Amino acid sequence: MREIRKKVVLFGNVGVGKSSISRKYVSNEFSETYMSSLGLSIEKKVIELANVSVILMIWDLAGEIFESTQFQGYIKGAHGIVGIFDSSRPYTHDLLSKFLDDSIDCPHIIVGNKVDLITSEAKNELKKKNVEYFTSAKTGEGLDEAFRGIIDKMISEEVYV
Amino acid sequence: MFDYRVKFDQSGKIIYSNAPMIPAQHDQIDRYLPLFYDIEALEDFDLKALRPYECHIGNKKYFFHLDWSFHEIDNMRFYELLIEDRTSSYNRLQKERSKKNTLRLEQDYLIDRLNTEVEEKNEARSDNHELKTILEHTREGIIYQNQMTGEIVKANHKALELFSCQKVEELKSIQHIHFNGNPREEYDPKLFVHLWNKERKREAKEEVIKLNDHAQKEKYFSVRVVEEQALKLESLNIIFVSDITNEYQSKLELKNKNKELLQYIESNVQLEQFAHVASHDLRAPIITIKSFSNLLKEKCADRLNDNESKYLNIIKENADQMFSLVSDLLDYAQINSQKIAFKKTNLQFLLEGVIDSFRSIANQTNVTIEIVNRLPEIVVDDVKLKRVFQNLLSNAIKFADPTKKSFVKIDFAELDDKYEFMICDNGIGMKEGSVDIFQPYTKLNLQTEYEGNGMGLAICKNIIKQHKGEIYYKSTYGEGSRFVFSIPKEL
Ligand SMILES: Nc1nc2c(ncn2[C@@H]2O[C@H](COP(=O)(O)OP(=O)(O)O)[C@@H](O)[C@H]2O)c(=O)[nH]1
Ligand SMILES: [Mg+2]
Repeated sequence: MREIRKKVVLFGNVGVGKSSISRKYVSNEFSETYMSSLGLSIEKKVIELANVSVILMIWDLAGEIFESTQFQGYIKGAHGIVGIFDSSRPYTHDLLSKFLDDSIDCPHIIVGNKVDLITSEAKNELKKKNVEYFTSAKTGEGLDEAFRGIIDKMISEEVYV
Repeated sequence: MFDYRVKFDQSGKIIYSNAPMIPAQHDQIDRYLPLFYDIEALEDFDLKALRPYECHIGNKKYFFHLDWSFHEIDNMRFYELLIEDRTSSYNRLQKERSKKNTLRLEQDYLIDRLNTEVEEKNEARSDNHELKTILEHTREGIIYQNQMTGEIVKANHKALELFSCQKVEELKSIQHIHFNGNPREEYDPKLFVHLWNKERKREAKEEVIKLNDHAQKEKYFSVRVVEEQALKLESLNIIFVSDITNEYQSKLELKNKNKELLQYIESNVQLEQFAHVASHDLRAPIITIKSFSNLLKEKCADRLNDNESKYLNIIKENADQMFSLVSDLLDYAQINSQKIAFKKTNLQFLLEGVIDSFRSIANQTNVTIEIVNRLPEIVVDDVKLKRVFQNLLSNAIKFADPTKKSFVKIDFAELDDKYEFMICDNGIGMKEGSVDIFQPYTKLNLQTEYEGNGMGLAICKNIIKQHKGEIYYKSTYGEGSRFVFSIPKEL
């Protein structure tokens, strides 16, 4: 079967749950205690599709790196970006959508994490802001759908380029 | 400075390692350090600047500082990776950082909560604003009164305007005369003390109150007190006030008008009764005058000189005129009276009587009068119905066509629910016009040779209406007219 490797960078404010999503999605582990990321962590996950297996390399960066000058270096060569915000802190969404609209031309999606913490009304409010994916690193809800979403975008990009 | 050294080839296969966590030779480097999954893509990546590199190997989490170099042998690249294991020191840092970031997160949550609170407050503020707008633009005066103390807390613009006050304090001195309550009930002459008074009957929630406003103008107000049942210490009475002076006065006027009308109707009835009695009683002496002046004329005609017989004629003519005036008055009094006296009446007899009275004039004008079908005995007001036949017959004779052999036919038909009477003639007929001939003072033909006061058909219509019946006509100019009226069987 054809094998394709894709570099996906998780992007978002400190504490939105990037590391938690990565750990949960790849190793099905979750910890309530906050372990702040300090540098770069890369997780690998293989997703078998009908005629291709996608090897996802998930780059999880410390919040500090986003603010550093090296940031462009980290996202260099990325095939997709998963923008993550904390559904329970709506302002993290504002920052995210601003960045993703302005400076990113590779495939990307926006994910509202910690959906287990918010009410359905709050969720509906966010849907109005065009948030397509809602996840919980705690319960695992929505993770497959979100990553499937970015994979589809990356693959369709590949076809057309 | 670096703790371990790992060598691998360009396919990622490990050739050498002295790192205990990366033991296996001939294994792929990215199994331990996923960073190296695409070595080519990493070539201009500054590994030295990447600090730290976090990875899970086995069950353990490591923090590494990395540096690397490569050399080529026979077009093959060989990489040498230098690893500094900084796990223990970064663990410490991570704990501190996490604490700091946790605080930051908590701060964020606080800020977020604050933001939503501010938003909510803004909403509340705009709610408040709305309320204020309503308060200032409503047509009702609204006054807030402290339920505990009776003190007037505030009042809207309209309230001040209604009481001709400039300031809220001035409201306190407004006095009133209690109006729709029990007049014997003790009340405080100060309006707002009265409204606040716990003794005040609670069911009197809406009161009409007479008062002099601050400018000593007499007014009538409708006052409604709503007790705000808030769970607050300072509960309020909300007092709604509107000025009903105009309505009240028009109501009063209406009442007076009604009274006047009643008096008028009463006097009208009395007048009718008087007219009836007077005309009835006057007829007898006039008839006497008439017959004696006739007698006098017959017996002494040859003995009177010209002047004397002229005087006698004047007496006779005036007596005739007086008689017809009094008869009219009597008719008028009866016909116009809304009182109606139904009784079983043989209409055949009634009609024959009417025809008899027209006999001489009919003979003079060569009009034959014929009853086609015998009229029934039904319940009607005989006096009034007689008038209908009189009026219709008199019209039929009056408008006879002198060039033809004139006739008037009266016919009758019994339908399911009513009786129908028809008076047909072959007289001059009427031109179709827009006038409603059943309106009072409508003359059927404008020629002056036809006398009449234009009331005849109006009276007919009125009478038939009193019998709950209908009257209509059909007429063709030059050919004749046909009047039909109906009287329902059940009156
Ligand atoms: N309830 C809940 N907590 C979460 C979720 N994702 C992450 N967290 C918690 O949020 C904190 C920050 O998560 P982390 O993954 O370190 O965020 P990062 O800074 O974006 O990498 C940690 O305490 C996690 O336990 C989630 O989906 N639901
Ligand atoms: Mg993290």
